[in-house]
Amino acid sequence: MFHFLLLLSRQGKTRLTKWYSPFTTKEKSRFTREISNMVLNRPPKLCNFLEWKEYKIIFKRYASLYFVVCCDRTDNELIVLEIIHHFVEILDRYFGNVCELDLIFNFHKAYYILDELIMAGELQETSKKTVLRLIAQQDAQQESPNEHKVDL
Amino acid sequence: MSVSVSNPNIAKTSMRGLTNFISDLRNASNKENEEKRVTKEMAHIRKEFKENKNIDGYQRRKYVCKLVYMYMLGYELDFGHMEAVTLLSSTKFSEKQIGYIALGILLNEQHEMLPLIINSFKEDLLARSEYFQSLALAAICNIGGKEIAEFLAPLIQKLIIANTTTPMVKKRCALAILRMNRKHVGSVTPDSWVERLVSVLDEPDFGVLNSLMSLLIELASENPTGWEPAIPKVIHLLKKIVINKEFPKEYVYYHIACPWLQVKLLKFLIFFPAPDDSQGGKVLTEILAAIFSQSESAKAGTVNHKNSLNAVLFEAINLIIHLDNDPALLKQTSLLLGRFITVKETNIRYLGLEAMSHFASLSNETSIMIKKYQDTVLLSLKDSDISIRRRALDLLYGMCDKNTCKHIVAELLSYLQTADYAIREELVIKIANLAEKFASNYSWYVDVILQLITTAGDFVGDDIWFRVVKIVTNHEDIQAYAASTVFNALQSRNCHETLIKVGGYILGEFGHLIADNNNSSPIIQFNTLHSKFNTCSPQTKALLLSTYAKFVNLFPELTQPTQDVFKQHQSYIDAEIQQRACEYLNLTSLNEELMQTVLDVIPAFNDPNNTSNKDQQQQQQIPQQQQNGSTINSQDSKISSGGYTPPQQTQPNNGLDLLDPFGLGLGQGQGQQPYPQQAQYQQPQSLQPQQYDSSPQDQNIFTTNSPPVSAGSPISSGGAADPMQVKILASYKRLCLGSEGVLFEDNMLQVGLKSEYQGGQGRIMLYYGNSSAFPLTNFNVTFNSISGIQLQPQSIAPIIQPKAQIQQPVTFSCTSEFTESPTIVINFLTPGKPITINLRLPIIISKFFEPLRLSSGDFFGRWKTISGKPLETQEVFKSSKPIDINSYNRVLQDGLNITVLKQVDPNPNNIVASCLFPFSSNGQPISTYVRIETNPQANMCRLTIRSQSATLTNTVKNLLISHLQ
Repeated sequence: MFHFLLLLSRQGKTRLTKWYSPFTTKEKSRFTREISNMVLNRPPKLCNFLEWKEYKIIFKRYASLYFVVCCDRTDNELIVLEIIHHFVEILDRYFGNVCELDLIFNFHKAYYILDELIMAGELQETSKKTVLRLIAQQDAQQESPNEHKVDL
Repeated sequence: MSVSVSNPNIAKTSMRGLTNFISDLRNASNKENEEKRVTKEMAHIRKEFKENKNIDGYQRRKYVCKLVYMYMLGYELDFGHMEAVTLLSSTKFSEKQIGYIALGILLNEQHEMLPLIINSFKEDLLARSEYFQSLALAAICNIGGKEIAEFLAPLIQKLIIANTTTPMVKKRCALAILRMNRKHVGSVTPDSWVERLVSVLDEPDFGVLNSLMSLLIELASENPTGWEPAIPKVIHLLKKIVINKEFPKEYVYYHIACPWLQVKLLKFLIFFPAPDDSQGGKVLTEILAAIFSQSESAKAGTVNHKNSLNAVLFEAINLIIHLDNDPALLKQTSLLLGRFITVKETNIRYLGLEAMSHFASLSNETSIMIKKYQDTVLLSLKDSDISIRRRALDLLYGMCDKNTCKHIVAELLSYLQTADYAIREELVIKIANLAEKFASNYSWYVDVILQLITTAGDFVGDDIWFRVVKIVTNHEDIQAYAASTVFNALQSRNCHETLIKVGGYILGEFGHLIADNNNSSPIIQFNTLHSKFNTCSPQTKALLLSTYAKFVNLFPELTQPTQDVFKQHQSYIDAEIQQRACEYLNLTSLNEELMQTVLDVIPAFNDPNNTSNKDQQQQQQIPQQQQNGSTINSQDSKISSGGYTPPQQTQPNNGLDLLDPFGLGLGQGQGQQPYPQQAQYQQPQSLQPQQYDSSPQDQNIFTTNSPPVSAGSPISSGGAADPMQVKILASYKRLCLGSEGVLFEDNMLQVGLKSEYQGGQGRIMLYYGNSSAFPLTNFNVTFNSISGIQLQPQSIAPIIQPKAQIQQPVTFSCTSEFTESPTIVINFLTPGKPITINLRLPIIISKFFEPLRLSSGDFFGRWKTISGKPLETQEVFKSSKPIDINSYNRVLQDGLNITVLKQVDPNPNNIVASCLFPFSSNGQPISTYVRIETNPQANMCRLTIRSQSATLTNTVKNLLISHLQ
């Protein structure tokens, strides 16, 4: 299972965090720091797996963003890499050529797309088409944009 | 900074106010400006929430999003939660959705607001909209918590099997159940669930199957018994996908049919023994062969295609290794792995090495099959990637045998010189283990360890140098060699402190063997050591003082220089050193006979299973050990009658001796505290270690000279001392596992106890209740602390009125390992009669254990690094009641704080567990590893315990036997 998922920018800024195991706030910030150091300083072309504490860190870089997953050592490493890719493809399709800024300005969307894909640290849906359909259906549930014209 | 609002998905649902706010924060030139902006926005939102009665849903959504964003940036949030709850209970999807997302980020499972929102969860679960249901289920997965589980579990259980439930909701139900089961292990039992869940396996929707398999894997990993009915269906599904190629088109991922589901189906089977033909065993072999041939045929393709293909392939390999029943597939596997470890892609190389480690550990045959890849693996040790190097090291460790060990150890040693710090510790332990395990002669072993200390002294733990000292002491033939080698090594200008310790010990014991050589005459030996003295830590200095004392005994000509050193340190600031200096000074100048006895050569350590191939030498040594054993006995009695604390309190077969080779109580603060009691009962048994091992702790609950209730008391006059003892023992044992309850009860006095532990601190509250009709006077309680646990009780009033209760708080901290429990003696007067009650306090070492969660690979990696008595012990016993593996799990996990590791041993009748004891006397945390193999039919149980400390090994064994038997 996934214990957490981090999206890190190349500069080490955290763009999204999702914790599937209960950690304290202190642990969370310590882990994030530790892992940013490990992942960002890793030379290219090495393998995408790192052994860390009793877990395994599996990460992949897409443009300026690192997608980092911390999972059990018994998890299948390659399939986790493909889960990451699956997530990226869905973000890409939803936002239309996704970039870091999309995820910053629409953080709440990124979260609910992630919920659609991964729940309780386990992959929930493996069909891209189904995920996108479900997200579209949920978006359709939202009221039309002209309802909110007053804006500050 | 522009955002692509052209995208219809985003344009429709974005909130401009939020976008602007995020822009502002991003544009803030420094942290200060950012904080200013945040403070301003917080104030604004707070005011709006408070004063604007007409706030609409859109605004509330926007504000909550802003608050969440600020929270994510690390700002404290003391309001807004209620607004999120309001959104949650809205009937509009957009508001509800933001409410759920916000709470998922802001709350955790302990949050005080949870009870407030559980009802909303329930309403949404019952709602007709699958979207509402989905949101609630996602929140349950995200937040979790016990209350949620208890309140909502029945509802979700109904939802997952209901025909009307849509696939979207069903798959979330499976994961919600999984999440709740994690909090409440064992809440989903096969008796009530297996039929329901297996019926869901007929579901055509692959998304549902995928989530369901996650749930089944988790359940099987906890305890596979009872879940077998799923096996035929799982194999059938695999066949459908792999052989019949029946699957929905949208589940094809880069030309591979639902790789995720395939991986999960294969993984599930790993938790069970090889399926027989009625379950589809034959079909499974066909499936595995088909997976192999698919991977052969498809070579080109995108990275994602290859990854998915190989993911399935590696999972299949894992399963083949687990099943271990098809020679053809095993052969193929070894060839495939041989290819994998040479390919260019680092990921595949890494996984190849990892799988090969598993493969090698399977059997002798498999380990021979991969021998031919040894050179490739050695090459991987020099890979630029530390992950690869770690795997290679692990594999080499597993591949090593008698024939290859010299070569491998030499390679590892040369690698150690350049290895980076992250891997050195592991490397050092592995080299030391291999060198000892496969040593054909001990001089080679000594060389290897010395080289280890020279190259990577910082990473050589105490246990490693204790071990070399022990082996040298036990093998006469290498003592001279060891002495001269260490002496030569000490000539280097920069010696590592560990080398000085080894040197100090070995020269002190065996320096005389090389003293005839002019280059290493006694005075040169002394000067060599003493030239390093000033740079050493107090611990090493203390050890060197002992060496000097030994020198005086061996070489009278050194009396003057060493006594000078002792004199210099008579008022040294460190108490331990000061004490040694004073005592040695007196010892070496007062009575020669006494000195000779005390400072005699250390006898061989009794170490029954040193390493397997040394059995013969061991047997030859027994007579010698017997002699030595008796020498010590006589020494002890002589010295202690003189009122002297013998520095050479060597206790054969006692784990403590290794921690302190000179028996000086190193690092125990006061030091010099021999353990007369332990020494007494261990020495007679030192020649028969099994006897000591098998004496369960419970036999010494009451010291023989103090019965639980003093003679003549009303209780014992009833002639029922035995039932009373049984009752007291039962209460004691129950409290060892729990935190509160009654410790003692009769018709006069009731003693209750509550305890809490935090880190190395403990606190118990004792309640003394007078159940009789008259006051208990002269009431007092004496506390007997033990080494490692100092009890600090508060004083209490000396009288307890009828039907009244008094309390006594006791605090204590744990400073070292301990084996027994502290005791108390309660004395009081009833009209006319004095009563004495002796009780043991349920303070046991496991109360100070901390969880140690390890993966399978880690566990076995560490497990393998420890072997041989006294660090390992095994015990077979027959359980007095039918074996129930779940209750065993509970005793370990909840009672004794020993972390049960799931998914490590696929056999449901076995338990693998580990724990960490952080408060040892030398400051090093000690890990202990436990394996329990049960045979419920025969009601037999085999315990194996390995730990870095002999004391812990024994204590944990005694605890487990006492609570499981």
